[in-house]
Amino acid sequence: MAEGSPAATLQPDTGPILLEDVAVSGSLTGKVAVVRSGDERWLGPIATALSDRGAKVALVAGAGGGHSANLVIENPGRNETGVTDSLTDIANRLGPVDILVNGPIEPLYLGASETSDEDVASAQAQAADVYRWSRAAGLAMADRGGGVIVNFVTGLARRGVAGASADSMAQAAIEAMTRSLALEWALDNVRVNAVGIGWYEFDGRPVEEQRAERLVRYLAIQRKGTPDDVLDLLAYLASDESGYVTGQTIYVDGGAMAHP
Amino acid sequence: MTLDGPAARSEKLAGQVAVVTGGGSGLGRAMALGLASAGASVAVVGRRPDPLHETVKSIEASGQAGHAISADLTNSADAQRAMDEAQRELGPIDTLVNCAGLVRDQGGSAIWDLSDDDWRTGIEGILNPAFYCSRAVAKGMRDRGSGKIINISSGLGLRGARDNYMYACAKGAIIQLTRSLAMSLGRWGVTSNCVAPGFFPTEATDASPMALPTPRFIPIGRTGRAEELAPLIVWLASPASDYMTGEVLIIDGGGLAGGYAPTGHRADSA
Repeated sequence: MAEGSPAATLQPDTGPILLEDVAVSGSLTGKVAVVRSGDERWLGPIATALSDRGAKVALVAGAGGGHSANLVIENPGRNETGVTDSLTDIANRLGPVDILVNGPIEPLYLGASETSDEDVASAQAQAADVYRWSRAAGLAMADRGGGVIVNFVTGLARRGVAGASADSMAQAAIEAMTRSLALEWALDNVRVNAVGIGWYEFDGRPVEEQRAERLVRYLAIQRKGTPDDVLDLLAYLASDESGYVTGQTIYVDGGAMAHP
Repeated sequence: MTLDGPAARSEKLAGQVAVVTGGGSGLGRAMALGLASAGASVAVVGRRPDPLHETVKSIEASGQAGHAISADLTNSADAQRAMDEAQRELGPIDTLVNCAGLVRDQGGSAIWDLSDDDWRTGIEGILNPAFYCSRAVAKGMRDRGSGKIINISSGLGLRGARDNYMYACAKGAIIQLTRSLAMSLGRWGVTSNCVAPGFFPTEATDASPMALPTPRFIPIGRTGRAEELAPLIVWLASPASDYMTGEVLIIDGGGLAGGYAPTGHRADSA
């Protein structure tokens, strides 16, 4: 290894850890975050979690969503120009982007026989959106010395479910690109990780009512998740405190992945 | 609501009691101090009294109660006594971190050179403390309807390595212990998760005969720092992680995302 390379200078000593070494804050103050999501129900909760911790947030959304953030980019083109123009616009108005969050894609629960060519194209296009935004933002982050990308996937990236084959294809694609982009940019201080979600819902029904569903009774923690369950993990992965975590998917799913 | 700044985080575990086995040195010490600085009272358990007392001094310097318990956790009765003592001194245990485990004298021998005793000592030295301590706290957690068991595995719990049998097998078993605890205790509000660190140099790895990775084999280009485990452990001990259970959290500079090969292509060519 060359003298003076980052690896040569970052070898820690193995002396005892001191109290001041472990002071943690969870702060995102001064960071600029871009939040986009195929499933737009997640935009608000994700944006709030990041701005509560001090980040300036740009939302990328479809037209007329009535979203509140430091900046809303509506309906950018789903191609390289649309993405790079949006990122330039965000950088000019809020500052260079430190954090990109690709929220969950729009779920597509259809049996194979009901899945049309358009459905397949839509699933592919959503994974490609994640790739395109990650590539453009990640390259810019690498150029300026670092940044963080967090993608959302569901359990379908790893487990099969009858009636969700096209969705599974897109989820696995997102998890796989997370690993490879993480390795590609590891030495550029750009970290790429994924948050894995299981069975989530937004209305927070009473647990007793949820347990009428067999699915819920099968979970180790016998309820469905809500965005609140996962947003603290998202903030951790978006912060400098997770500086040694990259290329990982971490599930917050009530124990679904631990199940046989 | 603004969660900005250390003050907010220091409240995160206020009033909680945590036990960290292997908390006298290395990664266990970093986790114990992280939990204390987030507001928890912390008992540290291990073989050697001196490092335990050093850690307790630092815990107390953070303003929290600390307690040192000297015990041989490969001994079932000693493990039970240690957990009982922690509860008596600090109160009911909210979080157990199973970090104790032999790092020394592991690996480096061909399989035909390993004796029955090598195998038994190696497996028992890592796996038994986690099982005994989890068993000792689980019923109390169930009765209170909450609790967190955090096990420390390793990248070697997920991958094989040449001439490495006991460490890799026992660390793999730690992951399965985590999953079974999760499936068994989740319905009572008790979660179990596992942290799998990559290579973090400590005084124990300094003295280990295992073939240890160099930064060239780690995508991020450096080894881990013990203090980097603190935010993760604090999060796992806090209510913010209540919906996570049975999960393995890998903190390894990208090692497991790729293959075990020199992956820092630019560092190689530099």
